[in-house]
Amino acid sequence: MSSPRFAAALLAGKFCAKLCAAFFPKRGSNLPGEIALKLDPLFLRHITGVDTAKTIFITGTNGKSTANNMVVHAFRSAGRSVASNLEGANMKPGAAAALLKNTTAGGRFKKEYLILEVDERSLALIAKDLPPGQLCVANIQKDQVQRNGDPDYIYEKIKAVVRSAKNLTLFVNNDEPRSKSLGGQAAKGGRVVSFGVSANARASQIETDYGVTMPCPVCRDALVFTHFNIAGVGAFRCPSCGFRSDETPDYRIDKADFENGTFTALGETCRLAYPAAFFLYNYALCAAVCAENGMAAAELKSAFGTFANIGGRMEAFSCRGKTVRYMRIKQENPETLQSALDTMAEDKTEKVLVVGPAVVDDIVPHYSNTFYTFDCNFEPFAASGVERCICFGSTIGWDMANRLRYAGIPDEKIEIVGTDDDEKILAAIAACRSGNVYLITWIKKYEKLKGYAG
Amino acid sequence: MNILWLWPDILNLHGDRGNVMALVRVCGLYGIEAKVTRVNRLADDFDFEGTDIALLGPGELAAMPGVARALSAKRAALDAYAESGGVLFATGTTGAALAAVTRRADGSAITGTGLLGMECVERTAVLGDDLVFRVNADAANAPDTPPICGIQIQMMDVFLEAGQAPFGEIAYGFGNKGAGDEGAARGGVIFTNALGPVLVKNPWLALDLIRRALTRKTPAAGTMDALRFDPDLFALELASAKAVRAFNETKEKPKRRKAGK
Repeated sequence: MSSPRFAAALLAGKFCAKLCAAFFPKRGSNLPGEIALKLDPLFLRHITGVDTAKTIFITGTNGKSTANNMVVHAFRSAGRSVASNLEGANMKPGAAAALLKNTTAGGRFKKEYLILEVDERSLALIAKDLPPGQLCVANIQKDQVQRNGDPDYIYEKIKAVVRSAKNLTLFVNNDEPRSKSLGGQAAKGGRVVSFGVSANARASQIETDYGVTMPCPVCRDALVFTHFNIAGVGAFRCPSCGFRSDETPDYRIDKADFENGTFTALGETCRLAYPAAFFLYNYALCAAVCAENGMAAAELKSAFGTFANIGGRMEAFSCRGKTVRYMRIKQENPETLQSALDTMAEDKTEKVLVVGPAVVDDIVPHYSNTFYTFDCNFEPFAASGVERCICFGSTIGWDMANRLRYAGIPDEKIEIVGTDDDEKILAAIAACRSGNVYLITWIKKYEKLKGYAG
Repeated sequence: MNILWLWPDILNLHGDRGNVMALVRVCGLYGIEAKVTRVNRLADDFDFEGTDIALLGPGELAAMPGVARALSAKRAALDAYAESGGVLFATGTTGAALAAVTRRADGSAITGTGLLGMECVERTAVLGDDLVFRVNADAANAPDTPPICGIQIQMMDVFLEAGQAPFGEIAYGFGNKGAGDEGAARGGVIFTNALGPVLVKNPWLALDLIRRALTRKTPAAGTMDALRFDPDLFALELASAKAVRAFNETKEKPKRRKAGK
């Protein structure tokens, strides 16, 4: 028998979900959950019929939205019944909203699987009321320093969940040291499953002079990487304590062929829809989760063949005869910036980079942080054929110009547009010779520029 | 100029490798040859004797016990280096390795080298903001240079012991504990909360460190004349600092309480 408080929360949440669906679709991923939790703070705990063994959380710094979308797509393609938060609301209200839409009027969960993308800071809060039977940690990397400080801050939060969870199947990234080391923290009765990616044509070695790796998450001495598949992720070992990536993780993506768009997983040759190295880890995580949940290799291959990412990262607009390709990055997140730089460096034709990361304005105080750009390696981009770099922004345009200068771009190829004025930015783009333009800025600025150009 | 870059893979946060790049660049601008020596692992041997500037970047607090132990293993050489005016420049959380003690939020404590009279206390919530300060006149080697602009990611508050001088005086931001003083300095041993990387954003501070190192290395008169701050060399950084200061003057200010132990 449910409590009156839960019944009221359920009713109000469902009503709100219907209202949102009709009038405010963008609010529907979160607001119904907020209302339900306000009326019953233990709302998640009071939902019945959720099978813990079939509750899968996907967390980590980078790639969790895409991995979640991919896993849900694969499960649904194989005929499994799944509830999820595909809209990306990954904190507690988002989890509550996802459940609200998939429960009966009596508060019973209607689906077989619950697969949620979970914000790494919210993981403990959600797991306390809705314990997962399976937890995937894609990676733990530098991100949003104003909230997270450093990766160890987040690592400790996830570690506490891993240590306390009973009978947990923990999926760890074999090639990302912090995720991998969580395997050593699993509580009794738990199981650890590793996934990874073999070295491929885009794997890189560490830079010699100024390249840095990271501290070993076990002993805190310096880690050595033999190669990187993407920034901070690859084959590693700690010469001090012996902690290392396994040569053969439980599940591995092999033979990535970026030219022909294929890779192998579970012995099947699959379609690589997005020819970017970071995407391979989404496939690897997905393959591990699907296989461990009894999905056949042929089913997985079929699902990979039809997967389309929600809100793909490559977007473009036309500006006065030039194609401006938008490279979306996360604020204060060096790995996503590095992926953008690597993508541009692969393009050896003459290009223009337009870069204007705004001040960080998530929370007060807003601030002018650009230091994460020095975590990135700009040199391959700088050597890939650059006509011009346009650095814009009234506060940090000059800092970006300085970073490019440190990367070896000559001063005469760097133009500072010290303003946020769309017309002036687009005029600077128009004045360039090359029609091959890349844009790095925040999504709102991209949309404004796109609207102004159109 | 011999630059000793200590444990860059361990103290790898916040893009602070840029500080090494900045020192090399500023040396180049003034015609000084710079040689960078990396010390990668905690057990690797290194030598303070031939060092002119030693750099410690910011690292995770969990790494600080190992860093402090590795420094303490060189205690006699470290003390001799510090007493002779050798430059040891530490940023962010790595101040914990130079402090006497750092108290962690879980109740544990990290014993530092005590090179600076500081006690640090881990914060339960991160604080990130811009930071603008002036280097104290008695700590500055080039008092005519502009204020220092940086970024602060505060994981620990810093309390100076009696007699320990701060490195600077805050113009905007949080500094050590929310009011007044920023960082700490004793001779050439300097700790600052400023990230950015601070020497990239403020090459005049890099120049100041180089002057200190050269004064110790070549005390002959006239050395310093050639190392005068030249605004034309740093026009880009000066324009950046001006824009950031303007931004700080107009932005919404956070409500802050002064930190307490």
